[in-house]
Amino acid sequence: MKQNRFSLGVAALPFAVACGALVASIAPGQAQAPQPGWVTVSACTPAGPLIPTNTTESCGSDVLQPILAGLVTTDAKTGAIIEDVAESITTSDNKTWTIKLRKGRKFHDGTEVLAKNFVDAWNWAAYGPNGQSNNDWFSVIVGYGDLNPKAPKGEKPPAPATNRMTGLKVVNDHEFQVELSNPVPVFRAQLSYKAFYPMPDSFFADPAAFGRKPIGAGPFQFVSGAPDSGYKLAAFADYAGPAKPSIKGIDLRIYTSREAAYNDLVAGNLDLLRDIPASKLVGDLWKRDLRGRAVTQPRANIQALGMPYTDANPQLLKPAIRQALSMAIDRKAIVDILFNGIGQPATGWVPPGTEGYQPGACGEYCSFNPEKAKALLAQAGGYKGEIKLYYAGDSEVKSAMDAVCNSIQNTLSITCVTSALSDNATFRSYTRSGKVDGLFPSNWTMDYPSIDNALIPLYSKAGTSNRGAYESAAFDALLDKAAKEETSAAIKTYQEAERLLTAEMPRVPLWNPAMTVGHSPKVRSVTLYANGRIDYSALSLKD
Amino acid sequence: MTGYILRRLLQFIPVFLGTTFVVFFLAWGMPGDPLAGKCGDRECPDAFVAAATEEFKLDRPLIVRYGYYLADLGRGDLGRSFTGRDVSEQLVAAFPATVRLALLAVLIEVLLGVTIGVVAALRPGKAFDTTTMMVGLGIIAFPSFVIANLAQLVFGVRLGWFPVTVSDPTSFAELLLPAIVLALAHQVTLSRLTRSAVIETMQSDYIRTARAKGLGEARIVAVHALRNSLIPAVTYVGKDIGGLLAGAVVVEGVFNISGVGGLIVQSIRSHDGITIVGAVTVVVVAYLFINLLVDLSYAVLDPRIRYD
Amino acid sequence: MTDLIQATSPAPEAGAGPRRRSRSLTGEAMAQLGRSPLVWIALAILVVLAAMAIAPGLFTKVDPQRCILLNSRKPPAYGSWFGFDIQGCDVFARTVHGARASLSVALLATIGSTLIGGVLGLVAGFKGGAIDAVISRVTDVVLGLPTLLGAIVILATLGSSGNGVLRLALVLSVLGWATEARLMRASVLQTREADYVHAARAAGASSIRIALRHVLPNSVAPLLVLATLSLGGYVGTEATLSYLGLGLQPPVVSWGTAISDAQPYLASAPHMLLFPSLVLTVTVLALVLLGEAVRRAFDPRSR
Repeated sequence: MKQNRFSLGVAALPFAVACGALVASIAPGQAQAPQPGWVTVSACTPAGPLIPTNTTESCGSDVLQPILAGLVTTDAKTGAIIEDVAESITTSDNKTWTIKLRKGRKFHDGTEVLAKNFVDAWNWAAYGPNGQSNNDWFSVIVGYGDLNPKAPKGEKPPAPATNRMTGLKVVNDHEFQVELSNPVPVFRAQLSYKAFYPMPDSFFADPAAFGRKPIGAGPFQFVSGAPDSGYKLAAFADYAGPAKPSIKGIDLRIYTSREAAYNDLVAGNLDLLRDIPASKLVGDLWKRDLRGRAVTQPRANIQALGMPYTDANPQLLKPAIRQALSMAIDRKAIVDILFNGIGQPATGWVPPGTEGYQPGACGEYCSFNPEKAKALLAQAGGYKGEIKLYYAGDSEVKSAMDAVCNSIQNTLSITCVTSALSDNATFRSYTRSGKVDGLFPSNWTMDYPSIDNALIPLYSKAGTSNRGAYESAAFDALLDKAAKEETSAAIKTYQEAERLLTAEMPRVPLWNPAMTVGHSPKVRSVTLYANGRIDYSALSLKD
Repeated sequence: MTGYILRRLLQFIPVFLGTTFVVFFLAWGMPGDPLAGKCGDRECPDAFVAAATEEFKLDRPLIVRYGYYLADLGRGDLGRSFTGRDVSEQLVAAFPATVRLALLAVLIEVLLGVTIGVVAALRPGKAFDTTTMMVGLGIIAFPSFVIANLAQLVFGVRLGWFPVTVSDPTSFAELLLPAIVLALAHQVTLSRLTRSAVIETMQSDYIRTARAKGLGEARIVAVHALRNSLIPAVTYVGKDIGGLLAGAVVVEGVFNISGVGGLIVQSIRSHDGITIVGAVTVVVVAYLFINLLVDLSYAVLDPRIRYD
Repeated sequence: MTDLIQATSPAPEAGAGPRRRSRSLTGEAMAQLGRSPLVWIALAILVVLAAMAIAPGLFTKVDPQRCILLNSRKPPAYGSWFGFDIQGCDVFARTVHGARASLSVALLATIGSTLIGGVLGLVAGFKGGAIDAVISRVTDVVLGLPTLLGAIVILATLGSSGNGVLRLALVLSVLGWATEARLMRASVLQTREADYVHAARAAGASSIRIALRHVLPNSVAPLLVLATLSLGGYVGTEATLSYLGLGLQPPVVSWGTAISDAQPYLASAPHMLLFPSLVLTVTVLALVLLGEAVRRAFDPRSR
């Protein structure tokens, strides 16, 4: 039985390992003593390297935001654009902009923030072969085309002849000039977006190393961290900007689900949770759980229903049917019941809190009116068959989409069926393919708080996120007109353009979600920016 | 015996290649453009799409890309994921938590399952047997996400007996509650299998012989009956360890464990084919090893089974 | 490559061959079944459930698709015995109408995976050698494949036309047979060395006859245990797939989607989760009790 004894040993191996595991399990785990002056904040796994010009999703942005500083920032209280690294930003024609920098602002590696750090960063991000996801932000700058030569049909784009845009000129260490190819009245507001942030010299030597350990000029510096284990950001001693924090550091803990983070907050293991999940808002559960330790803030975001834009479903191309569908949705009931009244029914295509926001831009078409909806539907000749509402199965929109469908079904007596596609990539591929024959949720998060950012990318003919879905000569003409006006006049023109959208309803506005931030008893004075980010400079701790 | 093990180890090679091939084609065969949705609410700019297409060779035929993958693999390079991280780095980050959780869960499962199974088998149809079965069926009838959430809410949040979530790097103590949750559901099948096998063995002739020889009941159960009844149990446990190494997706999600399950699900959802292939292949190799051990243990448990 | 096994140890005693199935045995088994009150209770429950699945209209007149958001989360009351769910649909109506999809998925998936796994396990264990090696290694690979990946790809390949219940059952069978196959193989390995099998072989019986007549009936018990348990497990799997966003799609109503939709509101509106779960649990209990009793009654060795 020699073999048997051998195999007995083999078979006993896993058991021995398991016994070892038990012994180890009795040993106490590393206690996580909270560092004094630090706050633990919920975060999620960044989808890629932490490079600002290549980060377009919120998980990476949450990590980067406290680290970075740009030319301008928004004032948390008023929402106004204020200078940060810039001392002044001036223009006479909305085309040529002169930007002067404050002296003495430093990166976390000790080097001073100079004009070349902006110009180099912008050139690098705009250079086609670098493939940055924020590449198209620079398309308004003269010379962008040279860095992104058009690809001949069916071929790869040729290598650019240069890597510097002619529209950027360094005047001296603390001043540079930007030449735009057409007037952009809101360019100063655009500069608050992180694509325009400066990069230290070390970035260009090794972008990959930067992606693991980003260096900025913001109030917090990167100490350690990885996408799985979370990040530690310490207050930067040499920070001289407008958002100087009183806390000593931020401990970003990675959560794969916000439910888990919520439970940790209730149990006292977390100081700040951005965005309490809707399921916990229902029935005021969170008010009992947190005893009022929560702050609600409207978010610069609009959730809408996308519409098919090809012959895949000709019935849904009819404006009257779209208007009827829009009027059949009881937005208020959905917001009140599913989000517990947090957020507000959308009355237009621009989120509140945005420069240029006008209430009621959508008029009667965005208010719940069953009679008018039925009348419009009848006038359009009715609707045959069922309406499908597609959404990404891995997102959190299911209950809201079910409710939208039920509302349409109950009001118009059209069968409305929701259909989950397996994931976001599948969902986006399908809804952008032109084959989509039903409705689908379509969200827009503002990159910077100005009305043009809610209109141009989505509804203009050349819009970067339009993809031919909507085309209106009158609308485009207004946008062209606004571009030539000075800011306040331009905003009026944009508002006029927004009202034009009611005619065809390229998207049906649903609601503007608000964000509820929960916090521990240890944290005081939680304030949020309009884009939903936490204002760490205002945070203070009880001792 | 040695020859048998060698043959089994040799079989690893075709299975390994087969797995990478199947998973590679499944992963990249998912519908939809893998680059869609990589730029938040915005559409991705052309420069981004062109650069990513070039880097990941997305415009080449699948079979060519599989060739590149194998060539990299031959150099010990598991490739790079869409997240810009090396797949090997992702695996090294994800596996420790999952392995710990799996070991702990299986340990609890075996202790519970075999004990309950044997005790129930000795008095079939009596109170203990019926009660454990009813409770067990109640447990498996509830989907795992309900039990996991409930356990977290009650024992973690309300009572505070266990940590609510697991930190990274993780400790065994933190993993105890998730391990119990996993073990609870799995022990039901294990105890039922053990019970049915023990009942069967207890009626076999050699047990009768042993009884006739006047051996004590305890010795009969422990030495003769249990050993011969363990084959289905060991098979099931082997499958369980493998399954747990593949990541307990739901439990990992609820308790915020950054393990293999989360990594695979995340990669599937972001259509990150290279990571999927790497992670799944490691899991399959683990299965091969565990099942080899299981097969070898058959010979120990039942002397009539012999390998040569 | 003779993979496995020769009998070594002398059999302790001779003469434990499988008893032949006969009418009298079947009759005896039925009689034994009839004597157990538990079996009658389980049967009664299953008859009610089957009726629900076939003719839900007998149990409720409420339309499960009629959901009024204003009724959201209302607790049980007169006329709405199980209350309303988050969308304001009647939970009782949805539970009754959900029986058909949930039971069909579980039944079809169990049958599918048990058949595939049973046949492959029997062949692998009985034939041994290269066939065993191939089947076993394929089993290893299938065990290692993540269900989520398999489900996404298979569901995508099948498209969204046709019957969602069938599609899901197919996915679960194709991805779920491996455990059954491993278990069956292990059991067959043990049985094929039994004395009665050697005796039958010595008597010149054909391989197929030995496999079907002697090995199969005596090695199928663990598989049946697993099958009865999987029946309940698959109802849960359906719910888990819904939780991961891959489950049955509207307008199909099922217990799984009801449970997965209700789970986030566990703390604020437990009744939405409780009632579908209760019905699910009772169903699983009834199925397993009946399965266990039938197995015991017909198992030649358990008396």
